[in-house]
Amino acid sequence: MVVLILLALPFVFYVSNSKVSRDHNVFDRMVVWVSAPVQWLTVAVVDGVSGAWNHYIHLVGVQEQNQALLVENANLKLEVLRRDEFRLENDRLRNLIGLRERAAEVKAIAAQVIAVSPTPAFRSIRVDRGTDDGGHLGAAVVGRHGLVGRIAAISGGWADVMLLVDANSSVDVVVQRTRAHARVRGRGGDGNLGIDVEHLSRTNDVEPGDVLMTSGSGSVFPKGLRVGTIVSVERGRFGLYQRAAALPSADFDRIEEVMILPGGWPRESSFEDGADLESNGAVPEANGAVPEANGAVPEANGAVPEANGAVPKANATVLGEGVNP
Amino acid sequence: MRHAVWIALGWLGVTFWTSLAARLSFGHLVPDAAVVTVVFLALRREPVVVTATALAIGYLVGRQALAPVGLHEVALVGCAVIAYLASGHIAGSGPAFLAVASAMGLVAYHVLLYLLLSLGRDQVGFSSWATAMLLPNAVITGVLAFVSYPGLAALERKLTPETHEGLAWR
Repeated sequence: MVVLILLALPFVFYVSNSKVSRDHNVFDRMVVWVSAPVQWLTVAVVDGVSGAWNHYIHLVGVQEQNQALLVENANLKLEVLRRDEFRLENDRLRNLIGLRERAAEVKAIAAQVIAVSPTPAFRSIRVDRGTDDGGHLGAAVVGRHGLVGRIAAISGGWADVMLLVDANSSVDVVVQRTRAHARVRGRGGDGNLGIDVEHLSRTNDVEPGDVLMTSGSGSVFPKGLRVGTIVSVERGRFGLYQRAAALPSADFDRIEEVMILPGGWPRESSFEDGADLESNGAVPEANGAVPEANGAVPEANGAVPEANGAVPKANATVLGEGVNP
Repeated sequence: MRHAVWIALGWLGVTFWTSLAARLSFGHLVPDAAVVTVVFLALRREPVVVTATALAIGYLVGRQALAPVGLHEVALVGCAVIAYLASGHIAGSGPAFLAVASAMGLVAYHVLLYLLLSLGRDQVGFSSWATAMLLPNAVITGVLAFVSYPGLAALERKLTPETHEGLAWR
């Protein structure tokens, strides 16, 4: 009898809550408050052990590697000099044509991934930043190559992120080339399984290779974040919509650091034209994240700062010149 | 209090393995410490203790998965009940038996999760990826169960109050 009650009780809860998405309550926060430090500590220990192994123990072939690196370093110094010239030229050209750093007013908080979802039916990660660091429920989360997901539950120092590939995830996007609107829905798998592109009108010109960007509708995600690339298009003989599949830009196989975009950005902010989030230059060097070289093409800029390495928990790094209220 | 130790063990196991998986890529393989704990108890303890423990661990796991309240609880309690009922019909013990039982328990747990998701949500989106991961995850959970059996058995001996009936009889 007791067993039946113990089985029925959560079932009733589930049936009444199954269609409702909710943030953590006080008790949930307590649970996270206890478990997240353990996860953070585990990750720190793993990083420490692997760092010690790589730097002090696993030194076979270091001598040869050192010689090769010295040569490579000399070449890279020359390359850096060349790129500095390009960067200065780039800056001058941008000033000339009146361009400004795109979306530099959008704040970004670097965060470390400290855990993944315990069951494959849900695709989520836990990061070591929360409301204390400026994050909030629904905030966009981006990785080095594009949109990762959004915060679905948050507490003081930790947040759970629903990944773009989760079956419950839905994002409004535009096709970069044609500006056609669509929605992207996760398939509940990893990145290689792809994402579905829905509500894409059959009259729109879309083809494999087209890049999908966030539309900025609803102010959930800033405009112009790279979401994925269309890999197949299927246009049936009937129906209002065509079906398409896309590969997400973010690498969900191995996410270690992400950036939380807390929101509150001006509506006109856009990341567009910075198709690859790595090729940007909006990060102040003082923050420790070295801006990636823009290369020789003056237009190749963007705005999402790159998270270079693990950011210590003690100093939450807020990147960008924030006007966030 | 003794039962709280099992709850803490299952929860910390999940916490540890999910954070380890965030750093060391096992190809998305994450052994399920919650299932191992629950199946271990289901093979040895009375049903009320087993289901209560499963309910508590299910709640804690569900919060990290961002799942609706009740989903993981029902699935893990269901898994515990299945393991308990099956243990009455199968004679077996030892690490290998726990490994097989845990692997099968994980499959049952995930099947229940899927059934409940299909029942409760309009579009759960059948994930072929999650299905493909089922058997490898069952195997790795079985391995975890096999390896952790001595520790679990030792903990159980420590937690179970000693009776001196044998000595009294002598």
